[in-house]
Amino acid sequence: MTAAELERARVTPGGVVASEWLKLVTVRSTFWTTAVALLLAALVALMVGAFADPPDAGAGTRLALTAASVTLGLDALVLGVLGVLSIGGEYATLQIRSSFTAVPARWPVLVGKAFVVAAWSFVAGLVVTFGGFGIVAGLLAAKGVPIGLDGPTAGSLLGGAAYLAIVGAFGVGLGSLLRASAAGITVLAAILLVLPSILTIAGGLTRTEWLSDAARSVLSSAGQVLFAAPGTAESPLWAAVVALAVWLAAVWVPAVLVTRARDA
Amino acid sequence: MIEATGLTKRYGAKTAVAGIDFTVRPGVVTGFLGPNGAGKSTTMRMIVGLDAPTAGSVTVHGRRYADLAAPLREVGALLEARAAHRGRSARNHLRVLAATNGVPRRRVDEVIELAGLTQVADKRVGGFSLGMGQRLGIAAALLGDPATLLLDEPVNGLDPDGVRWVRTFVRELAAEGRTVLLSSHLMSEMSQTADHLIVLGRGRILADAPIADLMARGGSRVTVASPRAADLAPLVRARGGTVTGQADGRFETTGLPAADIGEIAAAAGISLHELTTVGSSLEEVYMAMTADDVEYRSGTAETGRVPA
Repeated sequence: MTAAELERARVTPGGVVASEWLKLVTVRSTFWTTAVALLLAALVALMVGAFADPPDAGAGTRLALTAASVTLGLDALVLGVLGVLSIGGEYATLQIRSSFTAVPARWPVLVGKAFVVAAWSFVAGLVVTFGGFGIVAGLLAAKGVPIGLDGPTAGSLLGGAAYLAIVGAFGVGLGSLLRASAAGITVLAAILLVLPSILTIAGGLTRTEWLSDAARSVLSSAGQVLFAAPGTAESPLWAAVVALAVWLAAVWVPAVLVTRARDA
Repeated sequence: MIEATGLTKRYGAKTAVAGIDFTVRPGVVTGFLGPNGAGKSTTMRMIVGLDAPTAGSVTVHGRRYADLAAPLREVGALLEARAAHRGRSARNHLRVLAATNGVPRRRVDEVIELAGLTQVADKRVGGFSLGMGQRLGIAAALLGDPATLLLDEPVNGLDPDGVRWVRTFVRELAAEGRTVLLSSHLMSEMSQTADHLIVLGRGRILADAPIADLMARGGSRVTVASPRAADLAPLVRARGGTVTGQADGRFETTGLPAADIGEIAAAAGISLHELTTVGSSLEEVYMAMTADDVEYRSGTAETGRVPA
C-alpha cells in the first residue's frame, strides 16, 4: 500500500485544478464543442483567403483580421456552452455530490473549473484568431499580396482569445447559478445574441441615449471592443473591461453564495 | 467516531430528521435501519456536509466535515449509486476524485482491483449496471483509505456474490478498527452484517442498542401442539398467557415460559405432542418498532404485527 503517500494527502488548490483539468479532458463534449469552434473559424478564413482580392497589403491585413475575428461571436457562444455544460453536467449526473464531498468548501471546485475552462477557451481562441489570420495571410501571399502582423493587429487577435476565455468563465458561473444545462444555455444565448439586438433596436426606435449606452455594455458588445480592428472600437478599452468585469461579477457573486448555502 | 447532537433537518413544513443524538463507534459495524423516508440518507448527507442541518450538529473525529484538511482520507462515503458523470470512465472518475485530495495515482488502481472493477475500469460509467455502479461507489469511498466509512444501502442492486463480498468486506474494515455506518431498510441484511443498530422512524431514533439486546427485547413465543389443544388453551389464558393462531390441535402463546405451560398441561392430564420456544426474529422486533413510523404504507397489507 501507499500508506506514506496517503498520509500526505490534502485538499490543495493545485489538486483541485488538476482534478478539474482531468474532468474537462475526459468527457467528449469538450472536444466536439471546441472542434465546432475551430472548424467554423477555419472555414471562414479559407473562404475569405480564397475569394478576396485586396488591392494592397494594408487592406489585406485588415481583411485577414476581420476574417480571423468574424466567427468569434459564435465561438463565444460555443465555448460559453462548454462552460455551462461543465457544471450543468455535474448537477445532472449527481457527480456534483462526489465533487463537493471531496472538496467541502465547494467554491474551489467552481473557481478551479472556471480557471481550466477559461484557459482552454483562451488557447482555442488563439488557434482561432492567429490560425485564421495565418490561413488568410498564406492564401493572400500565394496571390502576390504579402501581409505582415503588426503590433496593434496582434493585440486585437489576442483580445479575441481573451474574450473567449471570459465567456467560458461566464458560462461556468451561469451554470453554477442555474444548476441546469438547458436553462444555462438558453440564458447564455439570450445574453450573447438576443440582448444586444433588443437594446440597439429599442434605443434606435425611442432615440434613448441610455439604451444605446446599455447596448454597448452588454457582454458581446464589450467583448467586441477587445478584438476590434485598431481604431474602430465603439467604446474605450477601459469601459469595455469594466463592463466585462461587471458581467462576470453579476453571475459569479450570486453563484458562489448560493452554492455555499444550498443543499447539494 | 461520528457524533450527532440534536441533529435536525426540516424541508419546509416537513421534518426529515427530528433532533437526533447518536454516536457511531469505531471497531464495530453500526447499522442504520429504518423504512424508506425515515431520515437515514438525509442524516448521512448531513454527516458529509452535502445538506446543512436546520439545527444541531454532527462531527467526524470531533471536527465538522467541512473543516477536514483531507476529507477523503478521513471519511469514505457511498451515498448514491453512480454519483458520477455518465460520460467518464470508471478509472477517470476515480482519478478526478483522487486528484482533489492529493491521493496518489497508484491508489486508484488499488481500489479498482479491490472493488472488482478491473474488467470495466475503462468503460464509460453511463453503461454500468446498478451493481457495477455500487462497486464504483465503494471504490470511491475507499480511495483515501479512510478511518470512517458511510455506506448508504451498499448491497442495493448487487448480485449474491457482490452482497457476500460487501458483508465480508465491511466486517473486515470494522475489525481493522474503522468506524463503519451502514444503512439499509432490510432487517435481514442488518442481522447478517451489523453489531450495533440505530433504528430510525420518521426522523426519530426508535432504538440504539447492540443487535443482541434488540433480539432479546422482542420476548419469545411458545408453540404448543396437543390432541386436546382446545381444552388447554383456556387454562393457559386463565394463567395470563395469550393464545393466538389456534387451529389443527396447535396454538402459539406468549407471556408464559414453556415450563409453565408444561406444568399446566400435566396438572390437567393433557398430553403434549410439541412444546417449542421460538425466539422472535429481529425482523419481527423491527416491524413492531416501526409499525407506527412507516411513511409509505401499502394499502392492503398489514405491515405491523405487534406482539401482545
